Amino acid sequence: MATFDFELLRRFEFLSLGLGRAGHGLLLAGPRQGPLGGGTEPAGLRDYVPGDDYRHVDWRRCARHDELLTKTFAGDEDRHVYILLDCSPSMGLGRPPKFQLAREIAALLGYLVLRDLGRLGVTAFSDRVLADLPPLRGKGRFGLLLRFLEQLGLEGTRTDLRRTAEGFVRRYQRHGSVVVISDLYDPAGFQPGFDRLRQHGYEPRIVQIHEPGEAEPALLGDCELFDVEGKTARRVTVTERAARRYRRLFAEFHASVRGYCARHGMACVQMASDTPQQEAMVQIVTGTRGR
Amino acid sequence: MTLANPLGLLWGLLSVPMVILYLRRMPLRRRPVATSMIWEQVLAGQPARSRWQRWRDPLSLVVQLTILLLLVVALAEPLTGPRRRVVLVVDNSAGQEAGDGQPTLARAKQSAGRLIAGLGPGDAAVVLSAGGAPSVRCNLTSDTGLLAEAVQAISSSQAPPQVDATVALARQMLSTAPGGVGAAEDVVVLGGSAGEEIKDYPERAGPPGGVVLVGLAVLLLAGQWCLYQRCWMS
Repeated sequence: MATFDFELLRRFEFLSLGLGRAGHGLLLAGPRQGPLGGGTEPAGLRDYVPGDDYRHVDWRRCARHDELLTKTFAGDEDRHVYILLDCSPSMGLGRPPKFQLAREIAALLGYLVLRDLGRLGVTAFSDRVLADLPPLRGKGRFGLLLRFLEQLGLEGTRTDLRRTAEGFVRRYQRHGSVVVISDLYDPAGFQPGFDRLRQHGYEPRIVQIHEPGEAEPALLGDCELFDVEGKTARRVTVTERAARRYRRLFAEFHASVRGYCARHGMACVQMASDTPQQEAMVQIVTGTRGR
Repeated sequence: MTLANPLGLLWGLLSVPMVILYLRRMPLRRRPVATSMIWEQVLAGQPARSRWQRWRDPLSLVVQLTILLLLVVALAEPLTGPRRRVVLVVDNSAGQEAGDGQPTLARAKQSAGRLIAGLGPGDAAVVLSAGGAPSVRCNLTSDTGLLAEAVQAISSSQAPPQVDATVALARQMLSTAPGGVGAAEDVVVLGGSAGEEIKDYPERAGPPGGVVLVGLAVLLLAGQWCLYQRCWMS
């Protein structure tokens, strides 16, 4: 499967040079004020936010100031970046499929991390963790990353971010950034999975990919909706009013993802699967929202 | 109301496949969706489709059948008003060739030709000549071609006119001819002193019934289209 070619690598290198060594965009930006539990040297205090480890709450100062404060730490350690790649059946929809763009994004992010001598791990998931690429270091391991991505296929039944996060946090002990590339169509909601990552000290970031037909469905009249993840079919009559309501709910869903990210200081990039490759790459490295 | 083309009613059999197609479960387009969680919210409260829920809008079928009915009736060529049965008595007795200018017989034939051309669908006429013994030149028929040929074939006779006897014969023919119930009968005597010139036979007033029915069908079709548009928009 020729998913990646030399042209793509040339573009990665071009974007990498354009970024320079100082910038990584929002998705690969360094950890916020001191990685929680990442180092051992106290770096200061900050307001408590839900998800912080209770062990890092400064209870003495809390008693004195009557407000919750969390201790932050700094330390010298390798920067760890983990990519969680959604391989659920819903990622196979679209022309080109969302999965194709997701893998290209994973390759680009991996390239940028390896270039800067960070450690990169990749986990494929759907309703569970499907496959792992142990943390790599150094640009020379980029080939391993590409081979891993190329052999991935769509598996599982549906997206389960909570179960995936639970499986993920059990595998990796080193904290770092976790870039989740997915359409986030988790029937149980996307929040529990990201909450779990944050509660375990990881810094999640989101790359949400959708198919243009999901935002603007060309459905009208009698049809049978087949859920590719739930494998269920429902015969419906889609009226103009129902289509309008769907578009509104879809926009609200995307807005809820952005709102969640804004509340928790997470980077978020949303884009359509038919976004031209070069434009998508620019959005990834700059962290812009896209369409 | 009578029908000029009763066989046209056979087109009404099209209603059978129309109803069958309406009731038949049509294969639906299968549209794969990445998730049904948004559609579940959109369609909450909307029942799933079933075979009999097609009847929730039976107005559509009623309108379609009405359109078909109108078109079938139009094809059957309904005749508005009573049919006419005309007796043409052409006086070809001696003396009809006399006179200045155009002979009377020739003018009578021209008048008869105009009269025949003015007959509508379903009308019938009989042609008789009144020179000497009454003679039936053409039996009761709706074929205007035959009638015109019969009129043109009438030649002058040397016998005296017997118009009254001919008219009596004509009325007898009409009374014994089948399908005469409700028909309006006219006896027109052409030639001689009875009718030097006649007015053109009046044609039926208004558009033919078929045109009106087709117009109604088109209006209903447009109405149904608007109904569907309204359904999809709601």
